[in-house]
Amino acid sequence: MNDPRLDRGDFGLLLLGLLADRPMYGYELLAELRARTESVIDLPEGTVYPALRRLERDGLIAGRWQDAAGAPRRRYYDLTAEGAQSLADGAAAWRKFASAADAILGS
Amino acid sequence: MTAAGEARLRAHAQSLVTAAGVPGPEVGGLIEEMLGHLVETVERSLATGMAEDAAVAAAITAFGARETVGYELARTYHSALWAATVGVLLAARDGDRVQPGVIGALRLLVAVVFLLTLAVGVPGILALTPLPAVAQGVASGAFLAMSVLAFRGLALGQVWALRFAAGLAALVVVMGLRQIADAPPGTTFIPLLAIAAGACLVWVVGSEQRISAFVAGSRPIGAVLGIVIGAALLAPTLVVAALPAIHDPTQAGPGDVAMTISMACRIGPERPSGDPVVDARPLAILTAELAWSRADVLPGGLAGLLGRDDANDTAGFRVIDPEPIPIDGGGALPTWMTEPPDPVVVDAQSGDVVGWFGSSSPSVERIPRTIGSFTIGIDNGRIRAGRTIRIVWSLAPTQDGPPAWPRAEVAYAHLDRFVLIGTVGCGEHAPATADTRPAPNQYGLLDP
Repeated sequence: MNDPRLDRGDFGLLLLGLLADRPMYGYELLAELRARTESVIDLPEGTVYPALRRLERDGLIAGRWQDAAGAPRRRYYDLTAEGAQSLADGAAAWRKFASAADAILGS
Repeated sequence: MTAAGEARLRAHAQSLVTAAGVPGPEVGGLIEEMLGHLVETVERSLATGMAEDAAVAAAITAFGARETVGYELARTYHSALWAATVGVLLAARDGDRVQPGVIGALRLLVAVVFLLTLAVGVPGILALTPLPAVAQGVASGAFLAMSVLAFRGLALGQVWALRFAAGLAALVVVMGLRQIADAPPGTTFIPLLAIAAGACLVWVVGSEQRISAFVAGSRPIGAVLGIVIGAALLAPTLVVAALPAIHDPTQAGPGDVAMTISMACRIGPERPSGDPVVDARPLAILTAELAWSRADVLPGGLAGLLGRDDANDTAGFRVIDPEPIPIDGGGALPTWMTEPPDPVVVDAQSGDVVGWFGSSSPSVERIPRTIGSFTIGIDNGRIRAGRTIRIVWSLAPTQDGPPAWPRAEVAYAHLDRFVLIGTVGCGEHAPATADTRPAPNQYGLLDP
């Protein structure tokens, strides 16, 4: 596995996958991640913000502040076209890796 | 949610961002985003009936360990190396702690040693030749950088910084004891810094409980970083100790200069300068030629390049046969002495004068003692590879009567590095060889 998007310690690809559905803010992303993985993937919450900053710096997502009723304003993130391409490439690489691993470990 | 609760959350987010060295323009937005997350977590817990204190504590716990989040932030805004080193060493810590006085004293000690190293060490490095200068520069740089980190790490309650400071205090004490042992007889040396460092160590031992509480929870930094810190602490001392044994290949050695000496003797119908004729005056023309195949690179370091180095070479001779004549009341009169004209020292190819009569450089201590007026100072900066320096002394006997032709010993000291020495008699031509006697030479004109 030599695709940096599949590094064990970097969940940027998962964040891109979540943002492919709709723009979300940090808290919402983590909640969605837990819900969709049935809490199998449960990260230290604070680590999502550095990860989002890295993705934004790489041009894969774009952040924007948005006021929230009765709550502090939130920073929502949108997937960019470059991010969508990166997600497609990363997902393909992951499926290829998973298929290869499955050939050994599966059934 | 109360303002006090929100203040706790803000302080947590702020400390994470600050400790990770997040660049200024990013700080405000990042803290606001993290705070919004923490507030939302607490609000949801409060909605389930949880008490605010517990909700705040739970939100902070769920946000992740300071070290974990701090590392992720550090590697976002800095290099991986920075995150794995500085980011780990200066990781934010949980909990509010009161800094014991002894920690302040250790920080002061680290700061003082830092400033002394900067004030004394850097000028010293500038006077070193290239290889030792690089070695000492790297060692001092590592020590200074680690001192800065330890200064900040102590305030954060990092155990590694405490050990670094305690090790530094112990090192200062040892060096102070050594300075006392090395002090010249009859002098009193009081190592104030070593005394202060010793007092800090005693204070550390007596404050074990308070220190333990202050550093409690400090994460281990790993063996590799521990070794790096230990090396940075000891490096300057070890390099200084090893410097005498380090051969700098950028500097010329005895094998890089061929020195030949010769002596021509005659009964002169006239004096060498063309002054009025002196009947039947015995003269000995003593010549030393030094052919350099390689010259030093920055022999006086950068300080020498800036003209702040007065170290030059010295050449001298003494007549060893006939022996000097003892004088009543002490001392001795050489049997032959220099005669006008003054000795000359020139570049043999160009004829340029490259030295002067009467050396005052420290290298004069490296050659056998002569009468001061016999020495020649050679401008070290005029030594060039492929060039030959020629030194000529004109000698005449100090006693009347039939001449007892002289045999002379000629020595050449290249800075404080090495000495070439040889003997020659009338009509002879001889090479000089490296002198193996310990420096500085303590044998004199009448010494065996």
